[in-house]
Amino acid sequence: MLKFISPGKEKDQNETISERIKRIAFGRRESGLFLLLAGICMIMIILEPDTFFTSENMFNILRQVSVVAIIAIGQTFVMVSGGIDLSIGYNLGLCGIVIAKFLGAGFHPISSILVGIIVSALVGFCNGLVITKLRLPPFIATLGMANIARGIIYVLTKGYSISIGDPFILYLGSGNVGIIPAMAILMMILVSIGIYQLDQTAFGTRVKAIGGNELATKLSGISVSKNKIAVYTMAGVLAAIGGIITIGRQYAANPGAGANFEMDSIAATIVGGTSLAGGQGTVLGTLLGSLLLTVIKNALILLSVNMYWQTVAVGAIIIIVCTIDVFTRKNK
Amino acid sequence: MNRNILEMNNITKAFPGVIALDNVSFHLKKGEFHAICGENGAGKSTLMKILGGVYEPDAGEILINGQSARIENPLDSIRNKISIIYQEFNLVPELSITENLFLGKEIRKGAGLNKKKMNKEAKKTMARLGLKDYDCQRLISSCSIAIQQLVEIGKAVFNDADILVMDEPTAVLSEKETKALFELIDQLLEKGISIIYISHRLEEIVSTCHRITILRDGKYVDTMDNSSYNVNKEDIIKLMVGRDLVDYYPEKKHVENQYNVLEIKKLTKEKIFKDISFKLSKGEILGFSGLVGAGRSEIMKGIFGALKTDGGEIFVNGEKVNIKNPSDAIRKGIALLPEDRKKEGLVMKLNLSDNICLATLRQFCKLGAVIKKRKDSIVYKFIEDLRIRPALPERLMENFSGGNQQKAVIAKWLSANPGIVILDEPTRGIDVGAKYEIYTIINELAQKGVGIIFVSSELLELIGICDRILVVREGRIVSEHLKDRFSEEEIIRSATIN
Repeated sequence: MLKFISPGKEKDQNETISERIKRIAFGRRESGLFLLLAGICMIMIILEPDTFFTSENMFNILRQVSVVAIIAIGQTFVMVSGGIDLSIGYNLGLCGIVIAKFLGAGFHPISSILVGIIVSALVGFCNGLVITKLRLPPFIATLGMANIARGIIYVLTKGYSISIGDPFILYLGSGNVGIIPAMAILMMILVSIGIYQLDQTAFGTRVKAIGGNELATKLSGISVSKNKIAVYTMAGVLAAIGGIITIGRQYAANPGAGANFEMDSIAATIVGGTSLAGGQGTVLGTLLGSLLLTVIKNALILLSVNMYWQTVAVGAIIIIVCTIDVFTRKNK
Repeated sequence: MNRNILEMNNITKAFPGVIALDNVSFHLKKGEFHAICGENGAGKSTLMKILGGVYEPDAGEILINGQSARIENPLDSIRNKISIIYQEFNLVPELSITENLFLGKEIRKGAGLNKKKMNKEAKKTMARLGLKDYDCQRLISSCSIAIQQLVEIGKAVFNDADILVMDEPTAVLSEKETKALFELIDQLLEKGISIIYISHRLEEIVSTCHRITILRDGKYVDTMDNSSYNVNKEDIIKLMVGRDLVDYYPEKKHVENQYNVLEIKKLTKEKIFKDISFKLSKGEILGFSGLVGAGRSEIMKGIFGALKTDGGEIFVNGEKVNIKNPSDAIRKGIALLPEDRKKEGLVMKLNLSDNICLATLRQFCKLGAVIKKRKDSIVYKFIEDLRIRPALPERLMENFSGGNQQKAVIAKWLSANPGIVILDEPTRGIDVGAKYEIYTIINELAQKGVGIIFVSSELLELIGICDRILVVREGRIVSEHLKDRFSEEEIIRSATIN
């Protein structure tokens, strides 16, 4: 019987210290991202010592990153399975509107929230059905669904915001647990579940397998359709949670609340190392990707860079990070 | 007619683990119709791919019209007026016939295309090939296979090819279409075009080709003169096979057992296979022989539920079963190792451990969470049993060698504890040592009482390890051969000759 020394880690005995640093720093996408993030923070501490590294600003960043990170977990699962979900943003908005409408009609907050989540889950479920049963490409199916959701939002609201007064929802979106924003804690719980789910469960392995090789997975007796539908439904539920936080944060359900969130979630996921072709990706990477993009936006605001240039900078970051990734992979 | 238009001298080409061509020479005369014969893996296709610039030879020279020619890529090949029609056509299905013919050499008119002129030229070309007044604006995807093949030949004519290579052109054609093709070939030969013809259909070859070159195991065997069409196809078969069975296959104790684990009755899939009936007993290794495209893989997929069948019954352990999809088959204890392990067998971006457990994930889970201990114990057992190297369960599948990847697919299925294992070309593309290991694994399985179906294009391999061989030709089982009376010549004959 062979002995396995720490299975899986192929270690080179003659590794020098500098090689070792290189391996740890660049061997995994996450560690590279973490270093980049730390680097930007260091620069900011030097440039803006009074404003950047304050608890107020740190919690501000946490508040800004939470919604994107939560919906990006769903996007990560979708993209690892080889798809894409363009409906996440408007689905998030739709959930908020539905909850606001139900609250307005006098329903109990918990049942209103449940209805909101169910509606968003249904949108995701329909995405999954259209993709697996009608065999439409995910891009087209979810693009269509995004427009349907957006249309329904305007049908329901006629373009007006609905104010939210429910204390529980406001607490989720604006309250603190101790000194930490409640939504940041919710985000961290969901991210932990996501990491565990993609890494340690049968479902996670299947999602990776489907994205990596759909045919081989099918021939292994795994129902590709069921798992794909589950992935899109899950993305819908996470969009709903994002939607609840958003209305609680804005004290109102705005018809335009979800706009561009799908693009932010895709950007965070890609920067986090998930392959557009599917099969590879981690939720931790996605969290770091969301953080990186948020910290850069925050830094540019503190440096009083023109708002429009901030958008340019975010676009450039996506391209730069992914280019570095392509080159490091080639060198391996 | 005596001048050599093409000389390939002393060509050698090695791939990791195999020497595909060993000092092979091949000469083609102007206006000649020259067949190349050999078993699967004899080196025919490799030789043609060298001519087509797909591979570069390790040694040897190519002379065209007596002048040394360098063919390093497909473009060099076209420049040397060589056109190769591969089994899979090189056509763009969503473009029209005209657009395919003119691909890369469009006639321009200002900034746009001179479509009128292109269509006219295309029509002329197709008319020369016997296809008068055909609508050349039709999309390739809407044309029949025979027409698509004509378009491929049209491309060759269009490129002014002097040398035309056809790889199994009649495999996909009806009898009538085949006849038309040979008439066209005659016309091309009269124009001075030289044609290299690769086919398994020996009847066609002996009745049409001028000379026949035979390859075996990557080596040149002989070139036979057939100018008076008097070569006997039995002689060709002898030269194609002519070697001794070396002690290359592990010893197997024959299992005498009448208990049928699997019985197939009249399984049919329209246009692909028909009335497939056979029985498989416990511990038996049943071989399926036949030409590529005869329908063997499709039959196996039909049994496994990966291909919808039109009729027929399947009995597992004497009980009639209804298999609609692969997971039904797995539940009934059937496993299929698909033909193409990269496309159908493995997820390259997952690690070894996850690949091994893919079909049986549920076994290692409690409430959906993978229990690492339980999973690891199974994974290590298979890594040891099947000697998968390196023994690193967390290593990505794509970083393993072909032989070890194949072992991983086997491990995946063994972990499901199947009573019936179907292996489709399990030794394709892996080196000799790994092949021997896979034969050993198969033998051990059979001895444990698993019923095994072994599909292979390498006849010697089947003869080496099977208890019984069924031959499939054109979607039907045409003959059965028993171990004591295996004859390579008979099997090849029934696979190739009506």
